[in-house]
Amino acid sequence: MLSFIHAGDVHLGNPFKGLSRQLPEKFQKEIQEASFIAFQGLIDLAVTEKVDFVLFPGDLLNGSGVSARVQATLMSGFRQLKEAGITAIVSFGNHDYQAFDSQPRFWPENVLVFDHAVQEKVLTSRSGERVAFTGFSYADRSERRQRLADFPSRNPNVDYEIGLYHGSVGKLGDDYAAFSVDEMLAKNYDYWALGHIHQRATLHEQPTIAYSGNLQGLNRTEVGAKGVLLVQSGSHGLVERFIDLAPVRFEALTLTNVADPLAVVDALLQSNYSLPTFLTLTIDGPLQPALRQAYDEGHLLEVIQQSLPKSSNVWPIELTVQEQKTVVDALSATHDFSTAIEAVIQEGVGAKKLSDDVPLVVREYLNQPEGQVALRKSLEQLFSERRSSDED
Amino acid sequence: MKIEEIHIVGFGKWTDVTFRFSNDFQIIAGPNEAGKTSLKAFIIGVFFGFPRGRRADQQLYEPRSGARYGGRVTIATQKGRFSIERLDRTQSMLTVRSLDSGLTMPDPEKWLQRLFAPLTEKDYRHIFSFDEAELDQVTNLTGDDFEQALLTYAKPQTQQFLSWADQHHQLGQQQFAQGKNGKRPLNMANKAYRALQEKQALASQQEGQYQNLLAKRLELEATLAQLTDEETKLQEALHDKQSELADWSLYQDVSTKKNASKELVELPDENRRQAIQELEQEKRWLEKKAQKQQEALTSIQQELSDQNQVPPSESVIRDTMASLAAYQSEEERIVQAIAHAGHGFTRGLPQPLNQTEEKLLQKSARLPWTVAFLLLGASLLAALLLPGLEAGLLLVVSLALLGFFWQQKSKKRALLDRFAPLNQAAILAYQDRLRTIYREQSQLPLIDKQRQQALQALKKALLQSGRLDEATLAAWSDDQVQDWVKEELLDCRHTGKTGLNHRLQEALRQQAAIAKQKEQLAERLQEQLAPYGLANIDDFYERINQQQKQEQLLVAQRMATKQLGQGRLATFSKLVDTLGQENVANHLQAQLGEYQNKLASLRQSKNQQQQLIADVSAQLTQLVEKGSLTSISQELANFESDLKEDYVHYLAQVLAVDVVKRAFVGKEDSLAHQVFEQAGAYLAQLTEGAYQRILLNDGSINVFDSAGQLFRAIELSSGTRDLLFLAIRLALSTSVHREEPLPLLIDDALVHLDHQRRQAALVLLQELATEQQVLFWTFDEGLLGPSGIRLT
Repeated sequence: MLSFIHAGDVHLGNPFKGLSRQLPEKFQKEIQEASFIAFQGLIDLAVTEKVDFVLFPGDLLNGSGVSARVQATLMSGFRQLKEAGITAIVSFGNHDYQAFDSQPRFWPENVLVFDHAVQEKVLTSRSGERVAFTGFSYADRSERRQRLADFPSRNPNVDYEIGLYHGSVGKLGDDYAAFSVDEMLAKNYDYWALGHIHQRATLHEQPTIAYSGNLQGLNRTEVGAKGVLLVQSGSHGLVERFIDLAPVRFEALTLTNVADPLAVVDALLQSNYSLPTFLTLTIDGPLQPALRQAYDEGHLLEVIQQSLPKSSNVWPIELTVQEQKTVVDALSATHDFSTAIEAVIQEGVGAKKLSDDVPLVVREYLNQPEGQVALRKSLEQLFSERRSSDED
Repeated sequence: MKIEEIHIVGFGKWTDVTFRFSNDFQIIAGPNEAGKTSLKAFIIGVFFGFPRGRRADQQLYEPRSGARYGGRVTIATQKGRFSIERLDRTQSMLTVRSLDSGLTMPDPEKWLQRLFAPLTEKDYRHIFSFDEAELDQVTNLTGDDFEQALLTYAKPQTQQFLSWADQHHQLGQQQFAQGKNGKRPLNMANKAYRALQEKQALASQQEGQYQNLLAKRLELEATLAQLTDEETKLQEALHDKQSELADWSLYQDVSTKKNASKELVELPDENRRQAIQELEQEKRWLEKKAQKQQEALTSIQQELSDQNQVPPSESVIRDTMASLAAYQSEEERIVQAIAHAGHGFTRGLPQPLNQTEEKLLQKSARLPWTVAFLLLGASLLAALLLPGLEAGLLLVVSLALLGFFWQQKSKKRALLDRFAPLNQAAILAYQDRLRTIYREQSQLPLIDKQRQQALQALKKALLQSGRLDEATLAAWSDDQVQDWVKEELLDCRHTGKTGLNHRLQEALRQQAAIAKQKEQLAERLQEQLAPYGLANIDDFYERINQQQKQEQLLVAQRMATKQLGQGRLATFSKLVDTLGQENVANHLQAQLGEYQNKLASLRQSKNQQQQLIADVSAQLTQLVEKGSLTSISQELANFESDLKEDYVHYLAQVLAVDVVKRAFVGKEDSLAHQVFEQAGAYLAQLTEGAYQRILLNDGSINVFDSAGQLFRAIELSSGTRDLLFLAIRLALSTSVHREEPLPLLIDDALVHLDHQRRQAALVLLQELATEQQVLFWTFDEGLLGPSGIRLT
């Protein structure tokens, strides 16, 4: 029986994004260790399940500045696989393309690395099946060529043919090796191990074309359980099963009808997250007066954070209030602040207020949709505050 | 708004005079000192209050006639016609009356404020009312806050939002200063962030060493592998040399003992050798036997000497034991005798015959029967012959006799049966022995009793002499006690002196016999050994040993030759030829030494190499353990996240003003932009295209000429500058207070202009007058049309 692990987008050692320096120590420690724990979990799973291969279809690492710990962890993991007689198959993606030249020469010989050109590697499983793996490594941060065309059709001399592909569905010329599911199906492979998209997704069943998602959620958009796909051959071909490995989670929670900050805290404590969890919190409906003031003054999230017991497994990192009334409605029709806010943001007025002294990453952020959304939200909150003070 | 009429009660040179302004572009002409400026001052005074005289240079326009100060202005607005009357300069009395309804406004000052709002007197003067000297006062507006000032004029309700936004702007600026050296929180955070970035770069650089170290380790490991390979080869060579050296001594051995090994010692043949060995073995057995005999003899002699020294208890024990043995053997003898006696009988051992039975057996068997039968025959004959009582009686007697004899015979047969298979005579002969046996049997209980007594006596003696304790005695059976005594004390069965002496004699006799046998054996052995010149059996064995050694040596030589092999032998013989036999060993030894040295130095470099690898590995481990890149990167990511949030917050604060302005202007272009666009158009018209565009840049006004060249206002000729300011004022007047356009009051403002430009300005003013009233004072009476007002 053939079995392997499909682990796309491991991003070993990648820092968590969007968390504050004010995190409680407990959570600080958790995030320092999380991606390493998840990776060791992956290795342990491979050894316990006695899989034949472990596939890393891109972004195993996070970039060129690979820390000593990351390198040591990686090598130790590979050695453990070697001792268990497991072959690791690596292709580099848009994040770790630079590691192609520096890392593999130190890896043990049970690690096979795909070249920049599409290659086929034929290996034999423990039970003697001949398995062909086809893939390529990125040579740059983007790959605009049609790489799927270089993939050969299914090899008739093997029992299984598996494709490793780091990219996303799209049209030719897109940044990340755009492909279509139909083109993949046309190759007649038995399994496509995809990488690049951090959200786990099955694009096609029988044969499976799937993203395993990333191994550990690293920001608030990467919610839910994260891990790898354990793939085994059965009567219906290769069948994948998700294995949860991430020790830290991001989740989103919407609360309705909460009266005051303590009610929010109670709701969080009753939410029963078994793992340390970072929460994007939404409070639905008009805010009760006890919440309103703190929210308008911009303290509500802080108040909730400070009211949580030290032992809490949950840590809210963002708070949004979903209200029926918008800023536009709140003001007289002649004062369309929402449009004005949008116009000011679109004009990039903000960038002019930031000198070169401001870190580039912040300036870039404010020029990107993500930062502009945050700025819009902040401005709307400010004008909502102005409105409520008018009402007072 | 239009000023329809003014009526002056008293103001400067004017007393009780009324002017009607029937035109939108109303020219009021008169020479100097004709009171042009007084009229303008009167209108502004009625609208905003008369001069209070606070400044020394301020003209107060006290009526020269002594009439009451003040007067009335009649205006037409979109809300209707009103009469505004202001009397008295200080503590003046203001009355506003609707000419439509006749009502008087309750709060006339407020009414006027609202009419002009948001413009104040100052604003009005800056925009709508000017003479040549005041033209440039418009620049008071075009400073830093021009945009804000314009907004205030344009949309009065903006003010509260703007001041709120201003507060936030200030709050934002407390967070961050644009300058490089700011000390505000976000400036400090920027510095801290950069410091952390540098720390990360340093960590990254340090941990970049990891790769180099890995590469170095790979290199070292390769070298080590090479050294190990060399070591293996050298070790093989060394072993080869060692074995060569060992072979050399073998080779030497073999070559020196070659001759000696050829002579073999003469030996007896196999049969004789066997015979000799058998004789030798026999001799040895005899010697052993003699030795044993001697030991027995010594023991007997010892016993004899010990006899007198037997302790009393022991003699009692010995005596008792002897008695016991006697009783036992007597018992055994009787039992055996009984058993033996009964052995031949079919029906077991019979009881001896009593006297009757003995007699019965001794009697003849035939005679009584003959007598009886004869008597029977006679009685039968008598009965035949002499019938009568006598014959019958005789018959009865003879039958009785026969019966008696029959009974006797049955008894005898029963006796014979008892003693079967013995016959009558044997039975009689056996009677004495049988009786003896039965007598002895009857004595058995008595003997047993005596034996029991002897046993008790023995136990008592053992107890008293302390040889056995009570517990042991109780535990042991009688037989065990006796056995123990026999083994321990009375091993010598023949304790009696007589017995011992007898045994001594016997032993001596046997010793003599053995000595004789030995003597004979020695002779026979000598006979066998003599032909081979062997003096004794030791020589015989020595001879055999020698022979075996020689044989072994021969085998060893053959083996060695084979072992060395042809190659080695050839090498050695070559070495011997080149170096001479005596130098070969040294030569080989030297080579071996050389190899050993090489190996030692190789191992040393291998150790060094291993040490280097260990060092590199330790450095690698240390980098992993102490490496802070991962944690710094996380810290930096968190810092980034905080900074992003803080800057978003900062920008929200400082952008609030922009949002407010944008919301109130409602267009993409700013109000200032609109004004300057308009002013540019006016300027182009006034200068007939010489200057095209006006640009406000950081509070300073610039213009572009038709060639696109930029000039600062100060660089222009005074005439052009006047046109520029006029254009800006006119543009402002059309932009501000649009709901109720206010009259322009222009007092000889075009005096510096050449004729052409003056004409252009007048044309422009006439155009503007279609939208808003223009009151134009001039000394140029030529401009007066039919409805112009001439002052004298």
